[in-house]
Amino acid sequence: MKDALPQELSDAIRAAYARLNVPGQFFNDTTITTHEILTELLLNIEPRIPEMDCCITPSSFDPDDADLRGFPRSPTWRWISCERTLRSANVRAVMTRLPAYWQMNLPIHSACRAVGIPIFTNEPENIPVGAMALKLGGIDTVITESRTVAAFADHLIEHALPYPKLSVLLHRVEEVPDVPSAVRETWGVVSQEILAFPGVPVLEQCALLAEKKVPLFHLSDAYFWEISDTSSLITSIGEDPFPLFRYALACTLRRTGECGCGRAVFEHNV
Amino acid sequence: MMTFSELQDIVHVCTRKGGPDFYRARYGVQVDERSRTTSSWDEWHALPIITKEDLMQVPFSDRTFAPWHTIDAITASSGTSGNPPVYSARTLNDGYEYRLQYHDFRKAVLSSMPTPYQQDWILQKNRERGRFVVLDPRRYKASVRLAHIADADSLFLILHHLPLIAEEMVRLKMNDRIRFIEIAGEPCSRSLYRYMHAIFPNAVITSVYGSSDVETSPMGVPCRPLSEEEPLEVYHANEHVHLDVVDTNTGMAVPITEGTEGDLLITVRARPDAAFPLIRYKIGDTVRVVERECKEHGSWSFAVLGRTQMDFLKVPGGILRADEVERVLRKVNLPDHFELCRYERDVPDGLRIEVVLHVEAAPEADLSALALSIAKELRVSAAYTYEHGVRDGLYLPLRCERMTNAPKGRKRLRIMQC
Repeated sequence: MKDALPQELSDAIRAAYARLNVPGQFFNDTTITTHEILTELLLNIEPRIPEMDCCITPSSFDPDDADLRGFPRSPTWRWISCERTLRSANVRAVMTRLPAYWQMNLPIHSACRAVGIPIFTNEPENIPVGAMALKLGGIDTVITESRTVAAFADHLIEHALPYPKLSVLLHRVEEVPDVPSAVRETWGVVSQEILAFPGVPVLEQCALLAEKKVPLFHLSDAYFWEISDTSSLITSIGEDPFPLFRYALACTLRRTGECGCGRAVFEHNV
Repeated sequence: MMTFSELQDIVHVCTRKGGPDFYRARYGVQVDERSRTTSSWDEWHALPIITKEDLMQVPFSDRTFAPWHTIDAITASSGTSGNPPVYSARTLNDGYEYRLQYHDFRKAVLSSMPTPYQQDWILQKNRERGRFVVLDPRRYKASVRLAHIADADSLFLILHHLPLIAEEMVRLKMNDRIRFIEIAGEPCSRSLYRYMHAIFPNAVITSVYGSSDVETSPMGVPCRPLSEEEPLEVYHANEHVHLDVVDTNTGMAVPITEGTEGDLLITVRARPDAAFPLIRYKIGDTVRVVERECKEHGSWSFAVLGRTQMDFLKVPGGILRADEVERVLRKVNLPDHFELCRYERDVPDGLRIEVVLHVEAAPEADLSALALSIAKELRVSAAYTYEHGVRDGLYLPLRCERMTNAPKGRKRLRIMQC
């Protein structure tokens, strides 16, 4: 699956980079933006960020990463896949258990408002208050990441607390998307997504895949995809303040077939 | 401050037949009674006081007055007192307009408030081009880095997060650009204010009085910025709030005159979209009336003296809890009576927490050795001890003193911020 990048998309991004005074060395039609190059690009545009109409998310999952930069996102960016998941399951209230420095609570709040359900913010480290929210706080849905979900699930089992009816489980692109056994065996629907870095979801699941709790994904519609045996490149399609151009994800993808929902299904490999 | 007519209205709205039963049950409203009416201040003062225990007895979804789809957020008390957390619902609300007299919010804000989306909402409401960077207190360097990139010039901070943030901002040379700081969460000491003022010389520093239990938090908004003037933090009621002061022991209303002290009761205006209007809610803080009529704002002003029954204190890295101190004292074979004082000490590399534990130790006991043993055992979070905090540079070494040397106050408190 390697359609050529449409020229108009390439031109639009070239124009966007020109407006941001990105030096020409970072952009030609054969460019592949590795994460190291993206880091340089973000450093380059950093002085312009205060003037841009944008929010920023960190460019790295590692809070101590010396190369952590701010990645500009539109203040009106909507996390459509998450919103779709919440809407499809008729949920009552959402608890977010993501590290606050990911800066994802604002888009999650917007998704909740769009669906008409309240949000509850819980620090990943504060398991007792989060767990009790499933019993006393009217929460039935959890948005969390795979690194911290096992400890939370174990706590629910240990204290005989209710399990989430629905969860949105986020994986880091460079990690194997694993669903811990405690989650697989006791929780309701687990909709998995993969993030390129915080605030940038790239792979998602429909209700059918989520129901099965399998590590298979659909491609996000927010990007033009160039997939080969050795690389997975994404190019932003929308009106991002800083569009990604042929950004190389830290994974490869293999098409495994078609889903009942009509979209292609991919296996994620690292 | 609310008018008496608004107070009558809130009682009527919250006790209407067909609505949630929370207030009807507590006020003894008869089944055939349409609602409770209050026709005088005496009747108002005779209404039962609502406590945190009352809230805990009823799942919050059973005491929610607004339609579920209008609820914006659920908040929880921190769960640090050893009691289960209290969950509360809130609809989109306002009450932040007072900030605009201090700052224009045209640049980014770094915020450690637990519900930053509400502050984001108010900025958008005021058509300011402000942006938010949410502070992650456990990974604060990443958040401060983002605030630096976003050119943040204001901070909304839980007070005990401030020293760490301040040091990181100095390191990034962004402290001079901070123009406005709003602090909340606990009373600010004079030394901490002076430290803030030294680090952020260009900032107007204000303090608000809020609570996760209260929908239209903050309940107390600043009468003036912090300064060398006494008392340091002075508040008046936010526009949606009515405040009563009652005697700590009898629960009877005390007259609002300069110097009066007592427990604070909170009443929040019953707007049509309020999720849970609180009526005469005992928040658990003791206050002192500063001025009967503030020259600036007209209504009476107050200072918060502290928790009426304080059994915990937030510190960087976690919580100092009375039950945990008791556990450790028993483990080192000491009576579990104690007084714990937390100080902020200005040391060459920044502001540090120092804890002094007053214990009933034998005259021959080695207090230094005892302090080391206690620090090694005393947990401030699940896997983090006071000793770890000393190692990480968050706290100065724990000191033990004999109980007889403990500071004497009018009331014997176990945990104090000194």
